[in-house]
Amino acid sequence: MQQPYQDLQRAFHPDRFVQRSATERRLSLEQVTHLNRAYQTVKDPLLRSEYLLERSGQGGAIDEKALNREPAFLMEVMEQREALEEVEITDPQAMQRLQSLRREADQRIAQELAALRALHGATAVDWQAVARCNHRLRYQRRFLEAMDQVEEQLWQQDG
Amino acid sequence: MDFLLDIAEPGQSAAPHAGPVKRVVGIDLGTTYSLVAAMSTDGGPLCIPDAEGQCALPSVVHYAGQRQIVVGRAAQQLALSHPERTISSVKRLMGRGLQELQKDPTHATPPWPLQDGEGGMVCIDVADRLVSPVEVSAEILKVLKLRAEEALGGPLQGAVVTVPAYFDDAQRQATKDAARLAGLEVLRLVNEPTAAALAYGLDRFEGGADRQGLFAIYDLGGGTFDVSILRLEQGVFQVLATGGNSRLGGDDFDQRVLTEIVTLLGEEGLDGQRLQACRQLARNTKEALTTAEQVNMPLPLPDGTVWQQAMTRSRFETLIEDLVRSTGLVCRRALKDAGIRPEQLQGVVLVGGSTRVPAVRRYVAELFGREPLSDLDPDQVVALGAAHQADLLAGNKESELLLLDVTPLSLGLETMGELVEKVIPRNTPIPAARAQAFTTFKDGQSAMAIHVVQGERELVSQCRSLARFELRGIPPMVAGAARIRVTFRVDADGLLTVAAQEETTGVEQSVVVKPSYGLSDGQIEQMLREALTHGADDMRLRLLHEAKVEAERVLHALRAALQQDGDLLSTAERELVEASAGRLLESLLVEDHERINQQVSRLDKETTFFAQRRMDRGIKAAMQGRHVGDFA
Repeated sequence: MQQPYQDLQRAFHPDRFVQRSATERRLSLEQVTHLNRAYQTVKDPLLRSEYLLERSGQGGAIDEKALNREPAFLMEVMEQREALEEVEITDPQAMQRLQSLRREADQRIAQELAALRALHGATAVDWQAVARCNHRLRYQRRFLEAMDQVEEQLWQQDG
Repeated sequence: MDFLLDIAEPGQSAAPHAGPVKRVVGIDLGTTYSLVAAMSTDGGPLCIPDAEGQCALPSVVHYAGQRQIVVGRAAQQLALSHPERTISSVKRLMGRGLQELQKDPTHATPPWPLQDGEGGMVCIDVADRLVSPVEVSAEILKVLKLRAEEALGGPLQGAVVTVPAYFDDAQRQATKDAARLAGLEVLRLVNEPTAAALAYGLDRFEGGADRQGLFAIYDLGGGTFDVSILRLEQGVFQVLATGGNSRLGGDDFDQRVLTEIVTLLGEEGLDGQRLQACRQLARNTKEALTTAEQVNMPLPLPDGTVWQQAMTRSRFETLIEDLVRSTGLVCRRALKDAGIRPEQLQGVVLVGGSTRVPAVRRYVAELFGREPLSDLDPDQVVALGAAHQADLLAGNKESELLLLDVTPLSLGLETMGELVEKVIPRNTPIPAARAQAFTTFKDGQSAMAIHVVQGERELVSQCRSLARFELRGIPPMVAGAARIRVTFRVDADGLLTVAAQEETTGVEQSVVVKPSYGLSDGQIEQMLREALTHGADDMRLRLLHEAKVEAERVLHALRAALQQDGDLLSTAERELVEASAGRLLESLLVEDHERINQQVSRLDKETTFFAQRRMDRGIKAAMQGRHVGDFA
């Protein structure tokens, strides 16, 4: 995937069109904007899965709010958030605790990714299940970001 | 099509891409020093020195009486006697508002009063006038432009200007405005670490069977810190992640030493001149401690005696320790964003004068677990890379090299509860575009406020506010029925535009905003006119020159296109294109820039279909034999 991306960039990047007409410059900008978007989407399993769901035309039937209310999901979210809130910056063990939370989150993400691969590989794709997986992955990603912020506070503290 | 060939200068080759060599430069507009570089005849980039053989121009501007302006070393000298009339480190004020600077705890009070300027931008009250940081920077750029034009023997046809990778949108916009104000055609704004990577020719380090390498560029300058993680593969410099602090640099080291000197002096309320003398002493001390273990600090006092104290390197290192360590956090985050562990790197490159400080080098070595590369002059490397990139952009030579950069900071919108909804996350490859759909939350709501912010934090108040605007004229609908699409676009210079439209009713409303900081095109033109009032002819000549250059560029590009892809046109279409080109060529004979510009845009319109077909052919060729399935 890296190879065609670079080949297309080499052919169409705005840097190659600086000396061309305004129309060609605009077209190059548009093409490479799309290319970057496509590359990001294909490279990232969650973005790719969201895109496939959208393209299937089944996205409209998904009730995001209902996904948010699913008890199992809610439980998981609460547990993780509480565990993160319990990490005290001043605790000498804080970094270890954070790392063990991260390992758990990484495991969950790996499970969801494996589930997504299986779901998309099926002959008749269960889009409702895909939407659920996407939703959980999105949440786990946000949780990772929240952990990053705590980790940065810890880094700042030890310099 | 013979007449099109006449455009090429005699002696130039008629190969499709080889036009006359363009006079272009790379400019490093730095906090403490600025440099200009160009490709030399032997093919490598070189910094262009002044008459005394000095490459680095101190980024210092002195405003004397009668509108006289002094830039560079002379201004630096004048700073000692007239600190209130001499502006230094103006880069730290670029694209920033007064309130924001006052809120910033790291902001050291400059010796000149600051005021609120137009468009929320800070203005400097210097002696008898108000100047914006954009204008001050333009003065520095004008000197470099003149220097380059003398060395290269003619007017410049374009410049690459570098900015810290971590500069936000307003800071980039301000830099571009300054270049335009100085009369430079900006080919591209390029991030400093990326330019440095190009100068280092990191492609020569590409090792292993897969010919790819991972590098970190650690760039600590006078006022800004940047780190970029790059992947290099077959001449493509792909930035994976970037991070930094646009308010950290050697100036802050000076400030720490200055505070120490003032404490040692034991005097309160030093006046501007004394303070300036202490500041100079602080900088000299820092520089001397790069090689010496201990430095004497003599300071002449008003009573004719000389005050003297010594500073050891270890004391200096204690003073700056937290500043140096704060770069580590940024590096770790960048590595993490890039998904890289330090041991995967092939090398770490040092850029920026402040990387001469031994404590910084030691820290970088410890952080990345390897000795950093520093065989190029860290002060020149950015300008050299910029010159290289300018040469590539001008099409002066065929090359496979390509720089692919990213957005340094997330871009988003304010949503309910003063929260930020990220639209384009940081480290997204540019150019980029992303759209987000919103809806109304009240029945019959006819307007929606749109607030564009930049930064990583969750709360609007912790991010940088870039622009506010209102989408009006939403037709009356029940809450939640309207579909408002907000589109963010970041161009190849890293500059943002935002547009919003209501989609359901077919009545399309669209607003395009530029960040509220910075100057409008009208303002720039106005300032240019004012600057050239003593010669209205100068202005006319300059506009005519620009129009001619543009016309020749367009004709040259068309000639190359016809040679390469002429078969895409029917005979009738080809005649149409030729007739249009002919009209433009005729207009060149009349010395009227408006007429030339009209014909340029007409030719552009009339050849749009041709450009589109060529683009399609190119894509087909690039995608040949590949299938969507290949990418999944």
